[in-house]
Amino acid sequence: MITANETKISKAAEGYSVTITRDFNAPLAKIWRAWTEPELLDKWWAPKPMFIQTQTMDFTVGGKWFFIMNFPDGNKIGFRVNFNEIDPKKSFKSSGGAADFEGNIAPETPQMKRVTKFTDNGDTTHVEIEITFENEAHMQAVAEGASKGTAAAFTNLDEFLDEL
Amino acid sequence: MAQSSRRDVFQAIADPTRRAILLLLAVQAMTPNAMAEKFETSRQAVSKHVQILSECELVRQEQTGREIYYHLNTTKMKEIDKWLEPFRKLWEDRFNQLDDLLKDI
Repeated sequence: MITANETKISKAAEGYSVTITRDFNAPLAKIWRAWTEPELLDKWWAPKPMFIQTQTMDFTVGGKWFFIMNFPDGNKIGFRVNFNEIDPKKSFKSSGGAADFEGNIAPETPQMKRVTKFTDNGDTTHVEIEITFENEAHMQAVAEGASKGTAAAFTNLDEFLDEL
Repeated sequence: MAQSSRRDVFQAIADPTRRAILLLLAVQAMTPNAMAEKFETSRQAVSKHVQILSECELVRQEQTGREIYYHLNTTKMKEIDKWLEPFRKLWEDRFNQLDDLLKDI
C-alpha cells in the first residue's frame, strides 16, 4: 500500500512504555554507524527545522552522549544520554533526558530509559526502540514536547475528538 | 491482534481524506453513494478509504432496509491515544532523515 517504510508505535498495556519499530533499506553495518557515530547522529537525530550539535560522545558502557538541541526560534536544550549496556550490532540500553549546558541531568525533568534493538535482515534492518518513562506525567510531558515540533495537522481532529 | 489494530488506527487517521470521512460521519450516518458524492476522487478510492477505517473499527457498516449506512464508531474513536500520534510523527520525521543519510554513507 505504501512504499515508504512505516513507523509504528504502540503503548504497553501496563506501565509507562512505548515501543517504536521501523525497517530501513540499509544493511545493519550502516544502521549501527548512524546510531553510534556522533557526526552521523548530528545529521539525522533532530527532526528539521531543529538540529543537534554533539558536544561529547563516548559510546562505551558507562560513557555518555551530550548534545544541544537547537530550535528555529533560537531556543536551545541540552540532552544527556548514558550508555548502560552495549551488545555490538545487536542492541544497546541507554537512559537520559534534558540536561543543562554542561551536560548535567536537569532535575525534575522527564528522564527515560531506552532499549534499542537491531535485527539484521540482509539488505534491510529492523529497528525496535522501547522507551520507558518513570510515570504517566513524564510520558505525557514528552509527548507534548513532541507535539510542539509537529505541524498542527491534527488540531482539527483533536478538537473533534474532544467533542465526542 | 489488539496491538496491530491499534497501529492501524494511527495509519488510518494520518490520511486527510480519511479524516474528512470521519468528520462527515460524526455529523450523520451516510450511504456509500452519499459519501462518494462529497469527494472529488473516484467512488472506488472513497470506498477503499472507508474499508481501511472499517478494518480498524473506526467505522461500522449497518444495513437499514435496502441500504447500507456507514456509522462512526465513537467508542473506538475515544480509545485513540491522541498524544501518541505526535510522538510517532517525531520519530517518523527523524527516520525519514536517516533514510536520506543512509544513501550517502
